[in-house]
Amino acid sequence: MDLDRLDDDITLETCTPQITVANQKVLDFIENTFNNILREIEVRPCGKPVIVLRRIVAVRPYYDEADFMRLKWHIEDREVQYRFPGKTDDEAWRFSERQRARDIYYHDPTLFKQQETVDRYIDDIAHTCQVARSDLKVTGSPKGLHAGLFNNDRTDQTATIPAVDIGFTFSDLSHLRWVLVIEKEATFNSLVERRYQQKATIGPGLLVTAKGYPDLGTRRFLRALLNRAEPSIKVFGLMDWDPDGIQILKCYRYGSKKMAQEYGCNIPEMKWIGLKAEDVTRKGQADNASMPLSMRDRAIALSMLTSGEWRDGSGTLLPGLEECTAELQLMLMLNRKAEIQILDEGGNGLKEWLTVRLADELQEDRIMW
Amino acid sequence: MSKQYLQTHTLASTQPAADIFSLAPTPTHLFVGSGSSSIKIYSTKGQVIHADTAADEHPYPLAQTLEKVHPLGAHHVCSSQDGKVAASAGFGGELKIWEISEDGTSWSARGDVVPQDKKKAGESWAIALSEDGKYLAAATHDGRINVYDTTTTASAADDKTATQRIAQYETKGSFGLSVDLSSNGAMTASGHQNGSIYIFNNSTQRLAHSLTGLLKPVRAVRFSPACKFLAAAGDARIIALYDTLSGEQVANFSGHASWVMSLDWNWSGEFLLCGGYDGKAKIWSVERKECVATQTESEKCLWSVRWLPKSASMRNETFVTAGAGGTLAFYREASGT
Repeated sequence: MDLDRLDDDITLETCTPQITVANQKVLDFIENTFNNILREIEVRPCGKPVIVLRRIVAVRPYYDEADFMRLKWHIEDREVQYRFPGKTDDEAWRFSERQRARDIYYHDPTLFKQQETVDRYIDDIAHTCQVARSDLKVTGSPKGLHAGLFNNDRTDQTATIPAVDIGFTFSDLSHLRWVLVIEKEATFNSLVERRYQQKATIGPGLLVTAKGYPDLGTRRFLRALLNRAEPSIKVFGLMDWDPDGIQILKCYRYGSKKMAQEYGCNIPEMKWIGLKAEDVTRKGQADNASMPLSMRDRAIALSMLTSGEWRDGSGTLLPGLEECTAELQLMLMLNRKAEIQILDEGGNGLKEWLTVRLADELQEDRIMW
Repeated sequence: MSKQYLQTHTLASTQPAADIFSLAPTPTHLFVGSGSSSIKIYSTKGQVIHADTAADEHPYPLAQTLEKVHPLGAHHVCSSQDGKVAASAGFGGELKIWEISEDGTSWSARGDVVPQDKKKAGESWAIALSEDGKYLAAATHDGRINVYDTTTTASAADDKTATQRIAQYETKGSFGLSVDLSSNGAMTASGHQNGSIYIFNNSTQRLAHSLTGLLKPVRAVRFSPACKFLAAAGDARIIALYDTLSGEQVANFSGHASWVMSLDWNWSGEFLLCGGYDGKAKIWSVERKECVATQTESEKCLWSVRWLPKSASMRNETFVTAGAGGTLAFYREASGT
């Protein structure tokens, strides 16, 4: 792959829109690929036009001794070749305006057949060109919600998470004492309904939900906010007590294989406040509160225990993942799982439980003085 | 009249503390399966309590460590009554057979249990060995019980020959949480997620009894030493006793405040030892149908409780408990009770 032409931080000024170095990398790749295709088409008797992409197969974390022991990722990839005759997906390569991945799919649903196909190609092209998704000018539809960002008394507190691009600035964050990331939208709504982000006894904070697995937009928003906040704010995660919940926590903390280029959005400092086994069994009605694991749950739990993404080069678990491993083993032994909703069985249960937990965590800080 | 037990020793786990999920005693050793990748084997001979030297003070020294044999941890270990064979099951689905050396001091790998068709066999969970260690019963995630001949295991890593399966018992598909083989080899019992309990006849290879009474997950099933009774317990918090010939429920012990994770008969069949999720170990008198002792080391869940096999040098009965937190606690009956 021959994309080493431009290495400095020079922005090419053409007419609007601006093209960055990363954008240029992609344009070069497209140009080279097309030129090769044209050459092959002219070959007689038959040429072999082909588009070659690289797809990420696995990621392995390690500490870079040559760079202050920063946590980095070895990326293992393989070549994927697309030969034709057959139509190519050059529809996706439009750079005049930003496209949503969903819109690309809808340009030709019969060609793409599934949204996942478009997503996969975009990830492969981004990885092949060694750029981030956003450099392809492709964005996802905003998925997440937040409440409590603005220090006012507006009646509608909830807003969609904004795209955090160059030029985006946060309003005044000084009123925030904590950030709570919640797996389920239902739990988020339940807390917003009670104005938890404003009225909690532990002080005002920010509630965020990505409605399940975090999308890039939500992760970027959180990372940018946490970077911007001065003094720093503690961030907490509240997930269901099940293998998916732990997978989601890991995704916030350390990202995922598909978006390995995006480790700038990792939040390894996210504290896991629940749900955990002790919360489920403490209630005393553990039998009704919890459900047996499905085979899919067990398979997911097992894949996390075996995952190479969880350990660094020496085989040690990444910080914070030891408790996840223990909790996964516990789930497999008990063959049970539970949802956050069980805390609400007694009416105000969730709010009280949450306040006690967060107060505990926030208190620790002050005692350090 | 209650019995008195004293805690004689505790072995706290070294860092990193891994939960202990299973214990398997033999006349000479104690196998410990935990969340860590290695299996620890302690020596249980020589129960000298009043000692002359510092070394003797600790009657349960670590004899051997089977290093990194189960990469994701081991959830079940079991041993044969004759003390010559042991087995371990890992979270990754591996089943390993161990055998003792000629001089009875160290253990080595006999081989791995490799099913003919992994998909058809199912993921193994609970395991039990026959009295002589020749047969291994393994309950699967979909409620089947496979019985393997342990002498036909694959000894090398690349040995693809399948382990011979003697029997496969099918049930209604509910996760097999517990399994036991009677010491006379006649019966296999299993306890499941949906509360069902089955006894199979090993010679006819047919279902002998389908036992009712516990409606919640059955986490432990054990045949009495004379094979007359089957004890079963789990999330229903009661211990049910069944007559193995007739299938009738003959007794019910209630008193546990939380899920019962483990149970074991003492050598004479007079007492049942049970460990609960709340960290309490209870001893029940089968004859008097009442709890005669309760021991609590901590509030942490007890995953496994076992009597140490009675030996000539041991005047008083000893049992060991272990669970979350990784501490092994040994108890001995107080003299004179």
